[in-house]
Amino acid sequence: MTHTESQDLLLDLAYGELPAHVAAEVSQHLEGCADCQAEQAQLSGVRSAFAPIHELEEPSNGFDDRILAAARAEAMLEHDGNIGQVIEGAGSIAPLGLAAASVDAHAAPAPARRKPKWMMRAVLSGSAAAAAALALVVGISRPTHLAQPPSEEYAIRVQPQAPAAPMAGVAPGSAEGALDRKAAQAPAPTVQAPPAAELHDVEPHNAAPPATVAQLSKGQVPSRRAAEPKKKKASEPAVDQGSGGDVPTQRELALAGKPAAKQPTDNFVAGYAPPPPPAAEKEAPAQLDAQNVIVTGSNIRRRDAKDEAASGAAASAPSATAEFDDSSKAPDAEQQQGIPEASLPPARAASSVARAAKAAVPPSEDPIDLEHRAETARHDGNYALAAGLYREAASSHHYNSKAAAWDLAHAVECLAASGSFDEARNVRDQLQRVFPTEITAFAAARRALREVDVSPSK
Amino acid sequence: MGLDRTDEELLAAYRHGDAGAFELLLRRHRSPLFTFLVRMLGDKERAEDLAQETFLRIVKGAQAWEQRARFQTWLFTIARNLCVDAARRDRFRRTDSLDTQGPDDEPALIDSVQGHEIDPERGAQSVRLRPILQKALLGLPAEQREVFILREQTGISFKEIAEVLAVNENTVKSRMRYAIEGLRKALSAAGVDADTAADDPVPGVRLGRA
Repeated sequence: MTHTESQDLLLDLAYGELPAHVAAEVSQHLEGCADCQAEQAQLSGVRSAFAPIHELEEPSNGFDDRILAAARAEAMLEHDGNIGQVIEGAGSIAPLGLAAASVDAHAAPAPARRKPKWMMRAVLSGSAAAAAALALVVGISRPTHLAQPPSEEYAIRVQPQAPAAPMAGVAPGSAEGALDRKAAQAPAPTVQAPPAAELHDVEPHNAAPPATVAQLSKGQVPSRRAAEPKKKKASEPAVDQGSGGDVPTQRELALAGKPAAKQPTDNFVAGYAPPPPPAAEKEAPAQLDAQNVIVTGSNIRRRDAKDEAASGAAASAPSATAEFDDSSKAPDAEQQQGIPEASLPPARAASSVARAAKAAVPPSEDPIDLEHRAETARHDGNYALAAGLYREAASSHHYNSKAAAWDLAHAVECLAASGSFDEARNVRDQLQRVFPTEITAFAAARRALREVDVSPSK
Repeated sequence: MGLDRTDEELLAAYRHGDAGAFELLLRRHRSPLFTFLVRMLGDKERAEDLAQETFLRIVKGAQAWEQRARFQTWLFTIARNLCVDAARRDRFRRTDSLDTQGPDDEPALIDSVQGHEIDPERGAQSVRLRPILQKALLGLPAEQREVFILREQTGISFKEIAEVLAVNENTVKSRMRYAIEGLRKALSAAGVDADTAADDPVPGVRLGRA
């Protein structure tokens, strides 16, 4: 072995990376070569001097928590597709989903492609109750209200499978109603009654939507694909029954641009939300801390809602406002009575809507409360209703982006479970865009959707 | 349990839903990774942020991961790239703070080194040396520093370092030689004779996992 060859291999020798026979050759050369010896001495001198850098440093105590939470969420999602319990374990809500999940396991036959059991449950949960839930969610979900797209290319479709009837009477001006829905509550009690009746009247028409969900979940997706080749175009006509939702959507989008520009991207709450104070911006590492933040946030939130009501009353558009008010209050009323929404006969559900509308009390904006109601709705199989509530909860989490992100993940889950894949995708994308750092929540949402949405487009 | 399983086996188990396998992976690698980042950045807080981010990216990427390289290579590739990004951000930030701080000011580094729990068994010289060593490391160009630390502390082979850095192996070794020469000079400048230091080897040194 030449001097140059040996010299090139001194590093390898020092770090034990040479095969034995090559190491022997280099060592042999080394014995008789002063230059190589000098170089080797220098090398080992520096290495010895720097030996202290081997001492391992330990990260602080909580280091593992966030990572392991993320890892568990991913693993469970990937494994059994039951996002509900996963989100509850890692998110802001106490774990309550297990019982529902286990019941569901017996309720549905195993589908060919693994699907969350609770999705099947939505299909099986009885047409009347499901119809009522779907009717309600049309008003509740108000997706663009939450969406506040930072970029203009963001297109939203409202509830593709939702019945068009409740929205049909909505004038294009409904966008203001969506943004200022709080504002109109006090001044417009008389307008609120008719939509409740309308809801009731609409019931018979709604036999179709559950059937659609059933079709989708049974894998008859090709027809759906054919019906909506590309989701970006909100104006596309061939969307099942939901085309009625498209008009206000576009309007809302146009309007949404203004308040969105004022908002920091972190604060995705609709236009009436104030920017969060800097102190609250740092994400709370532990969930308990997060809860504290939530409480603070919700208090402030209520105040803002009142201000809104005072200042924005004039701007409201009656018909759409009434829709939103009614449906967003409906769960309120049901929860207060302790009656799961699904168990109510449609007529009674509608009448409780009317009662809630008459009360004209601002609905609770406490995100925790909203989450609880959403959770109840979800466990009752009212996925569409739950999705709306989760989104509302998300918009109430002004100062807790983690909790808000998880609420959105829940919303994606529930939308997917109710067959609203487009909307689920929108919310999922919104989640990623608005909370880019909440990768675990996003992953959960992505998984939830992937489990049930077999359409090719992502 | 799991101790006899390779990183890659653990990752495969995790991909099949075994969250416990990931926990083992984390336990196995978090200290070496964190240490690498502390040496690279000279700042424990930032090192912890980046270490956490690294593992989160592992979690996120686990499903898409194809076993072309060792897990460890992947792990340090992510961490190293995060370091590069962080350094890039720092360059912008530094232009603001140069007036107040001065280029040689490395308070966080010195703190992190001196704040380390000191084993009384270790020689006084070792204690005295540590800040000097850290400063010498940070004085190296980043591309030499990362090679030296990766090879010396994490025990990753030159060939794998080449994979981590996406350069060829000769380049890695060339940088390593420069690094060693640079460190020797830094030690001399600080009045430390590398040969003397070598006479006082630190006992109980844990070698990086190969």
